[in-house]
Amino acid sequence: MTTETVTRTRPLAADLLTLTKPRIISLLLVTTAMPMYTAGSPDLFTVFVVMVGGYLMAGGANAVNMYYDRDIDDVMARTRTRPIPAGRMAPQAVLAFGAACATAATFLLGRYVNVVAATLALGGFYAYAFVYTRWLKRTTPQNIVLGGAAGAFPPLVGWAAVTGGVDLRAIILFLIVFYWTPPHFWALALNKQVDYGRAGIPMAPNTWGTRETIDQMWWYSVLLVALSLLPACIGMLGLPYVAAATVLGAIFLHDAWRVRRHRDADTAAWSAPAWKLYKFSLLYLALLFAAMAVDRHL
Amino acid sequence: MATSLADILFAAIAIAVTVAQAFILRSTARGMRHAAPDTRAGLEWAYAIAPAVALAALLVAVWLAMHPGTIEVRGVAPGIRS
Repeated sequence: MTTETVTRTRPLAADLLTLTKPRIISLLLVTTAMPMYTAGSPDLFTVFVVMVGGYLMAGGANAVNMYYDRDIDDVMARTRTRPIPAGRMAPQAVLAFGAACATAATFLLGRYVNVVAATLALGGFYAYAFVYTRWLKRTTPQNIVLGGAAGAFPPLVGWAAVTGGVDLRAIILFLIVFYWTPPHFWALALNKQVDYGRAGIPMAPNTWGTRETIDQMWWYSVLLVALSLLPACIGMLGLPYVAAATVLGAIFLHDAWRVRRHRDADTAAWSAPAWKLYKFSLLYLALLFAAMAVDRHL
Repeated sequence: MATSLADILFAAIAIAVTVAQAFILRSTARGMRHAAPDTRAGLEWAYAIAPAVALAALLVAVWLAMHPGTIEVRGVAPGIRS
């Protein structure tokens, strides 16, 4: 795909919005905002700036990701209609847009929030755009596990925006998102094996096989639910949160077990339960983080 | 949360995390046998073990936060007194 072949059939604004992957960012913003209210009582202006800065930083990282992945986006059905493979935007323009978003986000967060939050947000940008996209994604089936760190930066940013630093409580939130990522994303990857195989991406189901991937999804789910209760041990959160985390965790484990039960069966048996787990995992993370904020202000 | 209840919860979490992590490493080993023979096994093991190490460090940090003052330096070792 080159600049000569760019054809515009859709408003530029719509394509720029697509580059930022707004649906994914909405969950990232929840895991940024809720830790702010868990850490303290931020003023609305700070929350607003962190949301705008967070959107721009994550959106910039997603645009850079689309720039680097333009070769494989073209061969995967799921990504073929993105602006670059569809020929609606030039790769260089997408890269410039991503860099501009990250620059604007760094300025906003650094100028109106604090340097620690800006640095952490920029760290998340580099972790996703370079460590995950450029290094891990195409080289190891552990890409989702280690790459999960990139998606776990938002709680650190939110926490630092309110407290000016990062402590053990923020690191626990980081690790909850980190360990949420494998069962969440592998539930999707299981159903996209043909796509990933065509693109030559060594996703766990394509490399280790379906059985081992489903097995690990289950054990990562156990890990996640256990870790989600850790904030209560240090008095960070109380019984209302423990009750919410227990109920949400029980549903998560139930859904993960339904996938695991069919790990030796053919695709038809585990496909639907895997989709269900994928969808619930989105709700799980949002509600878990919301429960933290509610608990702190009860 | 009362200290004793927190200790029980922490113990349950630590056991669940340790068991889950052990099964994840076992599954990774089995998965690597399915992978292509040119897979860089050493690097893959490093990738697999790194989160386990981080998890162990987290559990230690949480335990220390629950029991402040548990580890402290008691005096100066013999032979290095001034």
